[in-house]
Amino acid sequence: MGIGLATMKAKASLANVTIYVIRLFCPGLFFYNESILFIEKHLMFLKQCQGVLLAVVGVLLSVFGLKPAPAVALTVVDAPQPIAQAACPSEWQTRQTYARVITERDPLRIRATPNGRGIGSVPKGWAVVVLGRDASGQWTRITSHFGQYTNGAEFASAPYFRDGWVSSRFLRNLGDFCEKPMAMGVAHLVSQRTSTPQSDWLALGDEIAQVSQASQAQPGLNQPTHQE
Amino acid sequence: MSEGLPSARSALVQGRLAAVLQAAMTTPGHGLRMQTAGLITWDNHGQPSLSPNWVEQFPRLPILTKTEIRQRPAEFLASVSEIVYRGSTSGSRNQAYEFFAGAAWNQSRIQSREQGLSWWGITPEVPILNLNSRLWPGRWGDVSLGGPLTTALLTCLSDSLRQTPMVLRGYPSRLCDVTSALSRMAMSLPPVRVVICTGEPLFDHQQRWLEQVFQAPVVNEYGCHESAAFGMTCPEAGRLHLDEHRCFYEVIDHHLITTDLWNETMPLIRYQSGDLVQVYPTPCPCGRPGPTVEILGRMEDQVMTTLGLRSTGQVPMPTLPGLQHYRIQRLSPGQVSAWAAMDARDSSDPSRQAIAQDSLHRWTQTTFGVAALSITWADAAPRVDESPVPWSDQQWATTITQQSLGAWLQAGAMPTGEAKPIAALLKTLLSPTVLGQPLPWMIQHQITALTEAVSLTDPALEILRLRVLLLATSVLPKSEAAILYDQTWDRLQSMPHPLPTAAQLDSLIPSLHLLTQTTTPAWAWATEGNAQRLWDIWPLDPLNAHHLLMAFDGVLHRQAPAQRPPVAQSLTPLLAVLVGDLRQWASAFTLAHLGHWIALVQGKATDSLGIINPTLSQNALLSPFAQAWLTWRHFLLQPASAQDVTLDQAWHTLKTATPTDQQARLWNERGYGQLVQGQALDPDAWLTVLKTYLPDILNPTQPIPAEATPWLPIVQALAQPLHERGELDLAYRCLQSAVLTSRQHTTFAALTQAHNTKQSVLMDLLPWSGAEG
Repeated sequence: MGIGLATMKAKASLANVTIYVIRLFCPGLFFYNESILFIEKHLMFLKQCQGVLLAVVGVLLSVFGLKPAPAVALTVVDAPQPIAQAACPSEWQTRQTYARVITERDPLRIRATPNGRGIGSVPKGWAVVVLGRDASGQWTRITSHFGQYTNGAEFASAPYFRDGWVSSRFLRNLGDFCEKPMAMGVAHLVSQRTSTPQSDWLALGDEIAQVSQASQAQPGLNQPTHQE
Repeated sequence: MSEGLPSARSALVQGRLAAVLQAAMTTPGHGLRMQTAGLITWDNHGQPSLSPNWVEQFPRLPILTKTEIRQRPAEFLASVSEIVYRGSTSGSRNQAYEFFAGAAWNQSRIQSREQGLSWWGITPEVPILNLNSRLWPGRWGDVSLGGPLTTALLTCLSDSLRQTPMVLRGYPSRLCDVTSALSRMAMSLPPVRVVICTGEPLFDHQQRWLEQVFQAPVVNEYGCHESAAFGMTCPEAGRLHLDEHRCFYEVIDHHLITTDLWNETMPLIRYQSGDLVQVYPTPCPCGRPGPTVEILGRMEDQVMTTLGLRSTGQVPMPTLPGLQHYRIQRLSPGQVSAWAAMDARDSSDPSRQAIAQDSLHRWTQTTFGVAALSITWADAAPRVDESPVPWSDQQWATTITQQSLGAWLQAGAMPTGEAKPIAALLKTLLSPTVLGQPLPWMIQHQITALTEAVSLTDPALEILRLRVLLLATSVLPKSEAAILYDQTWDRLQSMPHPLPTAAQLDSLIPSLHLLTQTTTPAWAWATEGNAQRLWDIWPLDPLNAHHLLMAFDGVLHRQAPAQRPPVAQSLTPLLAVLVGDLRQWASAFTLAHLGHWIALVQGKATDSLGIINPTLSQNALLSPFAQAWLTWRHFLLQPASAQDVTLDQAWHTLKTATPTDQQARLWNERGYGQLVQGQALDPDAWLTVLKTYLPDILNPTQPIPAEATPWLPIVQALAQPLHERGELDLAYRCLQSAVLTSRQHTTFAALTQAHNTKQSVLMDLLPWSGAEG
């Protein structure tokens, strides 16, 4: 198991174990789906407090002789998208602002213009790239980390994701690049794309020669002409 | 119904099964399934492990279909490190996906095949000729012969078999097509040792016909690429033995369910590939242990017959009077179409034709009931090779040196004068119809013939001959390449001076793959003792450009990755770096660039070639960026102990000199620097860089642009941290993208894709689950 994956699963496990313990001691607080809503709402908080909770849970589990049940792992597999807290040490990183969709119900409608016609939707819990806001601040223009997928491909869990406008009140700011949610770029990989970037070697050789020959007509210092 | 395969439950199998299950349970794709089936238990720390009773629980695991994996392949990727094999499923039903495997898997694949071949006396020294099918030459000495079924292909086949006794291998329908064409031409072939049929079901009439033509045993080979299932018929009883050391096999209602015992990179557990089999209930009389089966065909390829719905392999297709072989399509309940090849000597005889027609008709009635039968008599004659468009030698020479090689090849033209053998060899090198390692004999013969030819009367053509021979050193084994180089270099020196710069450059390019001392004289000659020439811009004509690409390809093809210098090993795929550099500097190519590439791939200082550290000479001919780039690359090649500045300092020097329109290159170099110094890549940062400069590289709907080539080492290196962070889709996408296939393979793949795909011998065009049932 990769270290990162293990960490991710451990974090998700921790959140669930925590809820398990809370439910154990405060059964009156949770009724059926309410518990799920509670988890969703407080997941961020739980994650932020995970250091403290880890100690508490560890003590409680050892005291009561409890151990995580397999049901915990069931949730692990479908764990919410992790938030990667990457450092931002480098001067050359592009700063972008991100936000999470926090609707009560699934999903959040995406509109062509502020308060305009609906063109798509993004599921609750998804993290999106914020492109800007309208003058009123009530509407936010969003995209995905990789822009808009079109031509038949789509996000696995957000098939109707489009670039567009959403109501700002259903977004929670996640900060800039350093807090970029890594799991948003989950796309279906089903389309039959060409995986080999340079499959036509004949054309490549001829192209290189043409670039070289064209440059001979314009003598000068040796600057490359290819724009990557 | 589940048919047990008791012999597969050995300790070895259980040990391997446990290993792949442990790898599988770390993946989202398998983890939940395994947990639901009770194969996972959890310790006090929440760590999963295999349940003590996993052997008993194993049959409870849900069956995994190809469609499920194709929809989310990344979720089955357990590891992205040490991948040595990258394969693709056949995709015959538009269900292709790419899979990855490690060294142990690849080794078991090779051993499995060698074992099966040994039953037939096919030792590693016996070459296999893959004929007219999309099959790679898998072993050293094997050859693949592809392309349209033409007289040239048949002649090549015949000549090859005369060189050495070989084993023929191919799709049965394609082998039958070739043999019909041979009989039509009244060509006889030298004997072959064995004929191996693979890739399609082998029908009785095909086996008989191939045995008759080749007078050799016909072997049925079964293989499923991604699942690792492999089997071969035994000589004694003709039963197909599945290799139980590669897979754990189960058969449920004729569906072959496999668990790959060696792929811990992308485990496939209880995988249903779609192949249907019938298990023999008794051990094989040959005495070999393990399961034996009969292949019934693909689950999609069922046919409605008078006996009900049947797999294609269950429908008898015997030898019919007057016919060599035949193919059938059921068009509708009352309509059947046949494609049939008659014996050539019978085709003009009406009575013989009537017999053949009657036999087909009877078979149709028996198999499908009353149905109208339309027969297409196969024209078994091979296509006559098209005559090339005649060009003058001058026209050809001008085109390949001043325009493009593509323009020449697309014109289908050949020079008619003394340039003809030069053009023929160049065409073979650029677009081979035959593939193999070592270089197939027919290409070697062409090179030898051109080497030994008398000097041409036209000096310009003679120089072209020598240039093409220098290019050919890229594909020869190293020792033979050195001999050819020496001969060609001697001849080139004797030509009237001054020589064109393009020819001089061609004499230097083989330095990429030859020993330094072999090409040292050429460097001294080209630079004329004047170091300034290192920084002169050398124009690249089309032949030069292709020579460089072939030399890159050639040197890397000969080097095992582990034999490369440490810097080169850290930049994988290295071919992407070299190709990217060449594209970058095509307009400002200098010998200093070539010198850098030689140092990169050979790991040696190139001072002996007269290529000195560019930082030692501030030459006005070099632009600030070119100077800084060469200095930066020189820094990367230095051992850490010899570096007097840090990576950041060196990179800032490069950054200062980098024009604003070359920012992408700047970040590209930054990535190389981090990889060479073993620094971990930060996925956040690099995904943003990729998005900025190559927005489509991870977008599955867009083809990967040529501009992505130099980024591939960075993309590949990102797979590991992305996988560790649980970004499985992105990690999988990185692995998919970071591949650069060699020129030979891409050319051959395109050729065989167009002419040598699998064919259906028996097919029902109606949906078999339709109202008729």
